[in-house]
This record gives sequence, C-alpha cells and structure tokens, in this order.
Amino acid sequence: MNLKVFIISFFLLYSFLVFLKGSPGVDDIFEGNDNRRLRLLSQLGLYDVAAKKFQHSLNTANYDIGLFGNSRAVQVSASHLKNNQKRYFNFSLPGASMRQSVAFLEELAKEERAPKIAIICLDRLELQFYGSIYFPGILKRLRQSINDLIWVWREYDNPYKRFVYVVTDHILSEWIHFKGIWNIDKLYSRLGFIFPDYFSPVKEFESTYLNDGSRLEKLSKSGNDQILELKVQFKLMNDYLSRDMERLAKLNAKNLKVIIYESPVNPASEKYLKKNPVQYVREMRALFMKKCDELGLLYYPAPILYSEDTLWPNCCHAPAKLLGEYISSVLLENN
Amino acid sequence: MIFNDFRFIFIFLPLVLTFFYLFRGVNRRILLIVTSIAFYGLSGVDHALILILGIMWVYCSTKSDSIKGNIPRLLLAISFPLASLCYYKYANFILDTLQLSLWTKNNRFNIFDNILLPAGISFFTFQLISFAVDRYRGRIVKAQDLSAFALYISFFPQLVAGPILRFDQVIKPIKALTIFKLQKKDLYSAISYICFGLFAKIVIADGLSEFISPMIEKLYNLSTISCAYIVFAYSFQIYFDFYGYSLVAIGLGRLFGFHYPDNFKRPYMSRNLQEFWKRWHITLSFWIRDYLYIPLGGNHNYTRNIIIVFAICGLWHGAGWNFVVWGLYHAFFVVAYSKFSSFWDNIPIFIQRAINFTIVSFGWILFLFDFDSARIFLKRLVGFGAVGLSEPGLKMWAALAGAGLVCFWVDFEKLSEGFHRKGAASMAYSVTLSIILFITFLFVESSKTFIYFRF
Repeated sequence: MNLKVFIISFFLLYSFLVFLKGSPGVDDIFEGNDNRRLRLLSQLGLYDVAAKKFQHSLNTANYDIGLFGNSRAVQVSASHLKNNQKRYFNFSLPGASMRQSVAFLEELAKEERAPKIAIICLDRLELQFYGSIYFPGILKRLRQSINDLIWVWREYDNPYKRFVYVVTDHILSEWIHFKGIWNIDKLYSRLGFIFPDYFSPVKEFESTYLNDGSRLEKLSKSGNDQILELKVQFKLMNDYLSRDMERLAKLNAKNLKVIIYESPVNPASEKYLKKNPVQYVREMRALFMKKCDELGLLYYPAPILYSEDTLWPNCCHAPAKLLGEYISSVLLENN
Repeated sequence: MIFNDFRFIFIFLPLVLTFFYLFRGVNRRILLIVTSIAFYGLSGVDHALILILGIMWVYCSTKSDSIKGNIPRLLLAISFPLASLCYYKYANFILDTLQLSLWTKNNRFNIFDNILLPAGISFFTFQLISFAVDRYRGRIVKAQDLSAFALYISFFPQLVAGPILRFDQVIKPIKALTIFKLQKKDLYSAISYICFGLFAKIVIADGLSEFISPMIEKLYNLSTISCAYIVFAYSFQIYFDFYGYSLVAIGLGRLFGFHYPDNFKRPYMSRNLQEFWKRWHITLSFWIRDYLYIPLGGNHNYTRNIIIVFAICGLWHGAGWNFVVWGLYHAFFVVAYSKFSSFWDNIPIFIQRAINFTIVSFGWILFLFDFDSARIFLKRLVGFGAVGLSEPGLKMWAALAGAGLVCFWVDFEKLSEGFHRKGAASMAYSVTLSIILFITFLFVESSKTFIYFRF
C-alpha cells in the first residue's frame, strides 16, 4: 500500500465532490426555457440554488426589486406582484435563515449586482429559526465567522461565554455543511442537473422554479387549520440579529433600500399566538424594532393575511397570492 | 456511538488517536478507558454505569487468589453480570413466557416496563464471565491491575459487538501500550481493515437492507420469488453487517497495538454446519466451547450437549423463542452431519457448499421474523395463496449478485494483510481503497445501526 497515493486519490475524489457543488458548467438556467433544469433545481441543496441565482445576477442588469428569504418567500413570483413594470427577481433560498439572506445580499452588493430594493423576509420570531450560512464558499464563511467573533468581542464587556457560543455555532454549521457534501442523493441530483441526459432524477419532481427565481407552491387542504408549534431555543439569536441588522444598515446606506418584514402565519396560528404570547419573543421583537429604528431600517411586523378562498400550504408558509399582494402594498408605500 | 457515524470517523477517532500518540506511559491506558466509557456512555449514561459496575464487581470479587477452585466465589463474581444480562435482556421474555406480564403491568412498583437494552451487553458480559472463570480455573494466575482489566472489558473497538476476547489474548498489548509505536505495516493493514469493514457494512449490508425492509413490511404481498430473494439477501445482509463490524474492530485495534483474532473465515464457503460454526462468529463459538460445551462433558454426550449449547447460543442472540428454535435448527444439522458425515463428505464440494449455504440462509428467517411472521413468510415462500404484487427488480438482483460475488470471491483479510507489494500493484491497491472509502462515505448518512448491537 502507498499511503501518499491513498490520501491524494481520496482527496482528489473529495475535491471533485466539492467542485460539483453549485453545478459548475451549467449556463444561467433562469434565462431561456430550460424547464427540465428549473425542475431539477428543486431537488438540489441550498448552496446550489444560491449559486445558480448568484450566477444569474452576474449575467443580468441589476433588478429593481429583489425578495430575500426562504421557503416562506420563495413562492412569490412576478405575477403575484402588482408592480409589473419593474424588474423583479426572487432571491429566496429554501432552508435559509435571515443570516443567509444578509450574506447573500452582501455578496451581490460586492459584485454591484444587488437589487435597488431588497425586501427581506425575517422568519416570524416565534419560529425561532435563525440558522447558519451555507453560501458563499468556505473561505468567505470563515471570514464571516471571524467577523462575528470580532463583533462579539467588541460588543460585550464580558464576551467569553458568547464567544464560546459563536465558535460552537460556527463549528456546528461547518460540520453540517461537511456532512451535507457526503450525500449520495444530492450527488446524484447534481449529476442529473449537470448531465440531464445521463442521470435520471432521484425523486419525482415535487415542484419547479420559474424564470424569476420563484418556486411553485404546493397548497394543502389542512394548512389553514394548522397551528404553529412554539419552540424557544436559541438564546444567541439576539446577538446575531443585532449584528445582521448592522450589516444591513451598511448596505442600506449604499444606494440600496432594505425593507424587512416578519413572515406571517395563518389566521388560526395568529389567534393562538395572541392568546399565548411568549415573553422572550416579545422582548426580542421590541429589541429588534428598536435596533431597526436606530439604524434607519424599514421594518414591517407580520401582517395578518386572510382570505376565505385561499389555502395555506401550512401554518407558517403563506400562499403566494396573499403574500404577493402584501409585498406589493409595502412596495407601493415605499415608492 | 457507532462506527458508521461521521462523528466517530471524523471527531471521536482522530481525537483519541491524537491524544493517544501525544501521551506516553500509563496515561495511554487511562485515556483509552475514559474514552471507551465515553464512547459507550453517549448512547446512555445508565448503560455506562452498568458497564462500570460490572467491571468493578468482577474485578473486586476475583482479585483475591483464593478464587481459584472456589465455586461460591466464582458464582458471586458472575452473579452481577448475569443478573444485569437477565434483567436487561431476558426479563420481559421470561415474564411473557410465564405469562406474568399483565401482573407486572398492574403492579405499582413495576420495574419491567421500558427496559432499554444496553448495546452489546451480551458481549461484555461474556468477557466478564470468561475472566472470572479463568481466575477460578487458575488460567489467570496473578491478580491484575484494575486499569488493565477495565481496558480489556471496555476498549471501544470490541466493546459492543466483539470479537469476544480472553484476557490472555490482550494482556500483552495492554502492557505494551506505554511504549507502543505504530509500525507502517500495522497502519496500512488498519486502514485496509477499516475501509473494507465500513464498505461491507454501509454499502453492502445497508444497501441490501434498503431493498429488503420495504418488502418485509408487506408480507402478504410477497411472491415465492420475492421470499426467496429475501432469504438470500438477508443472509448476505446479516453476514456483511457483522463481518463489517468485525473488520473495523480489527482495524481499530491495530491502530492501538492490538492484534485481534479473526471473527469470520468466509463462513458461507463451509461445507457443513459444523464447519460453519468454526468460521462464523469464531470467538463466540470458542467461548461456548470452552465455557459451556466442555464443562457439560464435551463429546461424551455429544447430541445432548450440542442441543443444549445451541439452544443457549440461540438465546444469547435474542430474547425470544424464535432464537431458541433457530439455535435448535442449527443443532439438528450439526448432529445430523456428525451421524452422516461419511455420506455427506463424498458429495461434490460445490454441492455441499450450496446446500449448506441454503440451510444457513433459511435459518435466518427465524432471526428476521417472530413465529407468526415467519409462518406467513414460509407460506408465501412455498406458494400457498401467494399473489405476488411486486417482484424484485433488476437493480435488486444486481445487488444480490454483487453481494454474492464479494462474499465468495473477495477475501478482505488477505487483502488487508497482503499489501506489501510494490510499484504499480501497490498504487492500484491504494487508489482502489480510496475509491472504496469515498463510495462508502457517500452512504454514511443513510447507514443503519449494526444488527448485532442488539445482542
């Protein structure tokens, strides 16, 4: 056995796996009519979707309106907005958190491809979803981690505990990232995306992306009756939230208008939350609003979206039609 | 924690190895004990406590040299491990058999509900017993260090699914830990063993399981061909599952200076059931021979003793009558071979192997199903009322054929030990091994726990 050969060949194979992320060699799928790939994209991971949307932005002029968020915003297409005369692209990445939206917008701004108005969907604070960053690549993520640590160091008189939290959080994120690379289904989907004629998709097509970056929604009959489950977990969230607001404020100052809205929940959950308020969330929201105020960021609390004839996919994913109408009204207000 | 988990492969093992090679002297032993107990404790603190108590109990009760030839002391020494095994593994089985389950359920002080079986309790209990018996027999003459004994029982590569070792097989490497230096030869074979072991488990065994699991959930929909497929596919699955674990254990042992004995010697190549048990789970067979069969009188009362030891062997595998019957099924063929060996041995070897493999594979039905399901399955297998709704597809047959080819043609041990070739052959072997590991890692996320962990 030759240990060097073993290590080098294993490393080469691993590099190939990493290289496949983001589906290199595939043209801008949001231009033209590559319906097959637009469908296949829904089987890929967050990184791949982000890479393709990023690639598209580099190939086109800046959009007037860009929507950033996750599966709670990705369903909104240009047809749902009333501002038809403006160029719109949905930059939402299913599975992403607010942190990811901020990082994505920053990356676009660095390339001078950020939309003129960036609408950012912040997950309803009761959901406590404030996860990790998967895009851009590892070196940039590492820089992001260092910046987070510097920020914690500067902000707090006694930062050690939070410092450990942040380090742990970033290590765990990278661990999840690393594990995600080793996934045969994802690999197969990526190969299917790059070479659609040779690899058939793993699963049946569940949904499809459209040319404007949005993804078709799946409605459910029981979505209207579902009630949001309350989970309180991350105590770190306030720190990240504050830091990310500061990052957004910097972008806001650079000829880019940032509007943040909290994602709505269905009327049944809204009613439930009104009856069962969570103290921790209330405090967090107050802090968040104060921070937005200080930094001059536009913030809209979660709207109550109600329509008798519209089905919700589930309790906390609003139907595209209602959400589109709401976003249109926000845009109109800020025109 | 399990071997086929990224946390073990990329965090636990590298950390333990790093500290192991940074440390010198007695610290290494302590490090391995602590990390082994942590390894076990990650699946349940109370289970780790049982392990620690078992170690302390047997150590204290066998420490004095007066245990030699002293039956009451021996019984005292093995009472705690046996009681733990009975409680965790057999309590509900005994209660069900005696039809006392309802009574215990209505009892205010019910201690038999929600018993979680500590992984590998049967394995370390057998090691604890073998140590006590060897002290009683005088095979281990001197009282041993607590740390040496604790490491013998708890060392993580063999803790949860063997090989079942004797103290005299490991005391030399335990004593040599303080000065152990990893040789290139051992490192290379360790890498090979680990790669092949993970591949056998994650790609072959779990791959077959992916096909079998949905089929056995729909017993009533099975056709004769589907049933036959399950019989042979499960036969390969259970083999590669356990064999894979054993290979990884051997490889891990090498990294720390332990040369574990082989636990499998291509068992499906056996020509009869007697030979099969000399090739399958060898360390268990030898344990049963030395600590049960010989004390019962060995060959003097062959048929009776074979029936007893195989019934107990079945029960060791699982707390259920199906396991006992599985043991007796094997006993029947072992005894039958002893009676008709002169006839059997004259049949062409290929036919002997094929028949023996079929007998063993059919036996696993009792491993896979309880009696009721096994009855339905057998009915389907012989075609009574079977309306096959789905037949195995081409992919499934290809997987079965692939597993068969690896099982009968590839000798992982020989490959792992015989890599001293140079030049192009060495390069080709290294590249192949890295490809095997790469493919294996792609399936780690969907990998399942080892079948033998529940024993």
